[in-house]
Amino acid sequence: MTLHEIGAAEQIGFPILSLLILLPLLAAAALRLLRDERLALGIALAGTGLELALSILLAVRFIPDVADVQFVERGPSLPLLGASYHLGVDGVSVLFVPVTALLTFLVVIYAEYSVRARAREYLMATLILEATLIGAFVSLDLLLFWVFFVVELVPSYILITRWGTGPARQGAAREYVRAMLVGSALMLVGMVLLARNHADFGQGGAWSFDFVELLRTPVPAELQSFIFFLLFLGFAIKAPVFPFHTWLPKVLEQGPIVGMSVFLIGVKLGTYGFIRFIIPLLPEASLDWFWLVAAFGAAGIVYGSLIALVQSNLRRVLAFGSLSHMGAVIIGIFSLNFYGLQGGLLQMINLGVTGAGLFFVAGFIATRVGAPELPALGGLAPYVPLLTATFLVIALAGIGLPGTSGFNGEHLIVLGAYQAHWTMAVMAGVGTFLTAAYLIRYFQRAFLGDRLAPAAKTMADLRPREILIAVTLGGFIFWVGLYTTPFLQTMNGSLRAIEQRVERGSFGGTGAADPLELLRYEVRP
Amino acid sequence: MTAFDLVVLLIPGLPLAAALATGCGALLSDRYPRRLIERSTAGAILASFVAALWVLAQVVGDPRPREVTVYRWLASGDFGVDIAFLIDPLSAVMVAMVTGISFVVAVFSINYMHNERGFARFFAVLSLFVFAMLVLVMGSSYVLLFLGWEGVGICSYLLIGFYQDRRSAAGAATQAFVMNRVGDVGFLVGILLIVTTFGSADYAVVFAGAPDLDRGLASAIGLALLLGAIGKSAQLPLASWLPRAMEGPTPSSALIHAATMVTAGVYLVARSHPLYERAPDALLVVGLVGAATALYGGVVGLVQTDIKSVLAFSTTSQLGLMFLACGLGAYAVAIFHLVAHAFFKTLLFLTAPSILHHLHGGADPQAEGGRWRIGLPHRLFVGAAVAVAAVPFVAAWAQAGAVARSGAPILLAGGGIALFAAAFASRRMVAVTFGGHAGEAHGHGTRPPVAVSLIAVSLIALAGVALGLLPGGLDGSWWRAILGPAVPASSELPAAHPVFGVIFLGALALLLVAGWLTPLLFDRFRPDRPAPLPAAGALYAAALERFWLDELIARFVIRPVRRLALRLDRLDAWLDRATGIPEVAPPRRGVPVPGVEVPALAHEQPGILGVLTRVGANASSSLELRSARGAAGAPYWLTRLAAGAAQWIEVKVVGRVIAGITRSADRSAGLSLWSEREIIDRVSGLIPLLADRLARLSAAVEEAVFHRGVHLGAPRASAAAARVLVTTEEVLGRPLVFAGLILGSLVLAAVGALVLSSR
Repeated sequence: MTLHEIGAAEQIGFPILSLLILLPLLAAAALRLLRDERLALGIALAGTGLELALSILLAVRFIPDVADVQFVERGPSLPLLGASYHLGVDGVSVLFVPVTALLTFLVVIYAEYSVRARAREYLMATLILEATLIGAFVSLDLLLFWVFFVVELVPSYILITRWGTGPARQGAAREYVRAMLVGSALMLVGMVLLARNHADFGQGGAWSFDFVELLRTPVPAELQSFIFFLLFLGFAIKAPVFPFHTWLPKVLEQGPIVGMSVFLIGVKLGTYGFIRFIIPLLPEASLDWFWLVAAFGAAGIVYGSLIALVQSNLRRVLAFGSLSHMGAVIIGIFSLNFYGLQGGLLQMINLGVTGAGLFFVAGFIATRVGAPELPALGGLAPYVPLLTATFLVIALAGIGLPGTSGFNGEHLIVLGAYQAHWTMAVMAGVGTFLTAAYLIRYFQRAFLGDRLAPAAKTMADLRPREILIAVTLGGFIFWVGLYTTPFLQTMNGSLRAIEQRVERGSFGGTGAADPLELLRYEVRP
Repeated sequence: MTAFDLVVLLIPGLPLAAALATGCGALLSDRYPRRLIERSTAGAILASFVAALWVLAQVVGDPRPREVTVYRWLASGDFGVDIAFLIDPLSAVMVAMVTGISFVVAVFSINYMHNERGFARFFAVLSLFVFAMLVLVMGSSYVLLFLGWEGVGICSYLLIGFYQDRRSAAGAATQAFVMNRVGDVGFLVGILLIVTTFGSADYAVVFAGAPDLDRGLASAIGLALLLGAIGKSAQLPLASWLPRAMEGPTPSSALIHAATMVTAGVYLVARSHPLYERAPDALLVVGLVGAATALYGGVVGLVQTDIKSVLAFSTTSQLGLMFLACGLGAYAVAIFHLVAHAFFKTLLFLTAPSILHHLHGGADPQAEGGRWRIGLPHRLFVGAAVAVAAVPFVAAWAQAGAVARSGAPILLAGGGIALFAAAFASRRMVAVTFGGHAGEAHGHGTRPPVAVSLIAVSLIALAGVALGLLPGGLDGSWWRAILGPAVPASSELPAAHPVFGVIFLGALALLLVAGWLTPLLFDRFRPDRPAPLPAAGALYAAALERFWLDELIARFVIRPVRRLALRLDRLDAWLDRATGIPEVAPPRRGVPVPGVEVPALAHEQPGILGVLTRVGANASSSLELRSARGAAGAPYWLTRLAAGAAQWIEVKVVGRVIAGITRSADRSAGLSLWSEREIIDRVSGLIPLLADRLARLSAAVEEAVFHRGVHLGAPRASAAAARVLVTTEEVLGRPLVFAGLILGSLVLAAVGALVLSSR
């Protein structure tokens, strides 16, 4: 498979992706240098606002329906390793950039309410987190991606330990970092093996971490399976996939009030890794092992949603719900057909927004009554109608009601899964039903009924900033839900390329009887 | 865009605009003027009603289907869905019905809801509902139908739970939503099969390809869609949410849970008729489900004492009859029945509150029972009740054409009994509401605003009567003429001999008469009276408990799921502990888990055990059947009921025969006193003895298999399994072993790679 590249210079005239990474860092640096608490919020707002505008520009100027990598920037490369500064977006990654920027913007808007102390440092950490996430999403070099992936741990760790609300936040943060380090170590091994394989079979016979280069390089089948498992484990811990999820509920429960919204889009790096790296680079192994991955996803769907059904803390509901939703996404992606891939990707975008949205709602509640625990809630609806409506709309998007952003993704996932195997479709379908059960149950307990929360009557409804956040999220939900075509068009080209890649395999359909032997012969005469 | 397109777009557009305006206004400001809310809502719906009538007139003039496309909703690969509306006779009739009834209900609600806190919320959701319902009936593809389908579902959820501070309302709303969601899984599967088969969900494409569809696949699609229809139309076994949905305000019950939303299932089946044509098996199931539900609703409706419950079960029963009509292939009849029922049931619902207003207090007519004359509402109420009972009868005219069909006799038997029950329920409602004692007469008439609403309601009644009097589904009638091109009667049905029709009608007439005569008799079956017929007493009690539908679901679905969830939660706590730092002490067995609340989707009803004990005590007290532990279980109780029946037979039949024999023996003096006592007493005691043995046997089976095996054995086994798992997890999940897990996966990968490469 060969991807064409469209340079940033010819497409837009300036290195927009580098700017997107640098801008939050610059804002963070300004915060560090100015040391002025009063100006802090303004600077951060300006930085993230500009970032959001820039990312929207990126999405608008993106050429839909083509597989080309766009806005490409190539920088210097490390001589021995073959790693280089190589940025670019395609249909798989481009939508994550504005979503990340949007959520960061909303988190910064809300910072005034959510952070009592050391707001400046909180904003710095959030900005750096944004920079690393966007960096990871636009990297086209495996090593560069890995670096962003690992550096992301630093602001996350600081956010959880310093501004976390739970008493056990230190432990949760340590567990998160430990799990991520294990994952990234495995991932690094897998990537190094790919780079080395390029030296054996690729053009030029040197190491390369370049994604576009590696796509041209065939990978022997036995090596593919091995690398597949290394990378899969690495990304599965991040996603998280079922047995490796234990860090997520703790981190979400103990972490900061709304800062985790950005963190939640970062979690999507796990499933992003599947669709970005694993499937295109290791198509044969993906075809060999898709059933195993789908089984993990199915287990996660049932396990996560059943546990979510009995949680009393909204954040834990979200954590397990996220596990369940990720299961459906994984099933979609590893259907390895166009519908499944598109559904999975659309659902990742949707979950990035709705998951973060419900986390915002949990934050709204937390700033009023403390932890969003059911015993502290109940019968809120008549007193806080706006908050109720916000929760309901976002929850319905999570459930996948048609007309909201959740439906089309889920629908396409089920469609794709059905084409792969009917049991996968059944499991994905079961997920939609259970999701309704746990979210509606939480809604009923927290907002309806005659058991009034102690604080219900004095509870304030949404404040202007919160209304802004709610309206933004609601607008996004209905926009994606009712006019999905532009989003799908953006993804079409790249996903079709991935689908073909899976069909043809990493040897690109050379037609040779034993392509591997042929290649060995050619490369090493 | 032609004028026609524009008008078509206005029909759903106006209610949507009203919903948005009212919703936003109400959410953002407390003092949003009520007058504005009323006028914008009622005005928008009226305008769309007028537009709908115009469209209907156009369609009557030219019945060819027309499509109005707005924009492309989603496009993925070869598969795409447009936001597009299909106008054909079927959808035009439905649209006119929906907007018309919505308008009357909106006008009625202005007065009815004027004291309520959530006035604006009610009207916003009402408009949104109208919009969603219109999308449902006008959509040009299954996906758009599903959009409306879920939209009306969520509006129904919001309106059932309208009284937010009522716990029971919240519970009922959740139950309705989740039960509908079960059906929706079926609907989604149906859409999925349709899309994978035809490559599109558009009606045009699907129905064009339907005649060549594989029969097995058609059956699968038909059954999947049926599951969706069962959920939405409250058919068995997902029927129990509808009576509880009466927690909502009465106007919304009238509109959503009687006239429009619940009929969406019938619409779905009628709309999909080209698919069902290829799937006679699925169609048979449609008919069976309909017949069973009609029976269920009818019988349970017999014993309700609360007006709204009687109405709800009457709706269930009538919906069942509509499904039955669909199952017999008479789609036009089903739609006729649907429209007529919508009119009459709305009328009943809208007159009930004005009656109750005057009776003061709750909605239980038996509690009030004051004789009370109110003139117009009274007459309307009685008239509508008569009409509800009679509509299926009229509809049956046309059904007669479809009699000669395999399985039809069974379905007809079910339908007939349901008709009887429905007729009875209507009569009972009237009797119960108006036939009380004269002591507590209230002399006041209707207040003017109510009267205004009632005039609107009586207009509906007139329309309904007109519909009912005209021979609805008959071939050659105007109804058939309108709807015929869109919904032909099933073409595969053989033409029935007229004799069948006559017999069928005769039977229905008999049943109807019987229905009007039996209430007195059925009242005598109440368990607290000396039972002339024990089995009937049991039936009465069972009906009173709504056949334990909620209870059964709670026992066999919700409780296992809950148990599993709690167990998984514990497992997760152990996983936590094993893989990281323990934060909370893992819960011990039997101790409630902190931070975990047990979900209860259905409210607790008096258990099967209690009721059956009551029934049993009356039904077969003389037999003194006792199981060792008094455990309740289906086999045991069935046998016990059988024993009751046997006793009755014994007393009434055998006893009399024997008495006759004895008398004749006495008279002829051919038998001695000894032989009479020894032989005949023994023979007559044999049947209860056998029944008793049988009951004991099944009690023993129940004890051994169900109680020990299922109720004690399964939890114990799974608890043991969970303990094993937990121990394993504890060992496996230590940080060191976590690394081992990863390494193991890698080894697996290596082995896999080796196997693959050697292949």
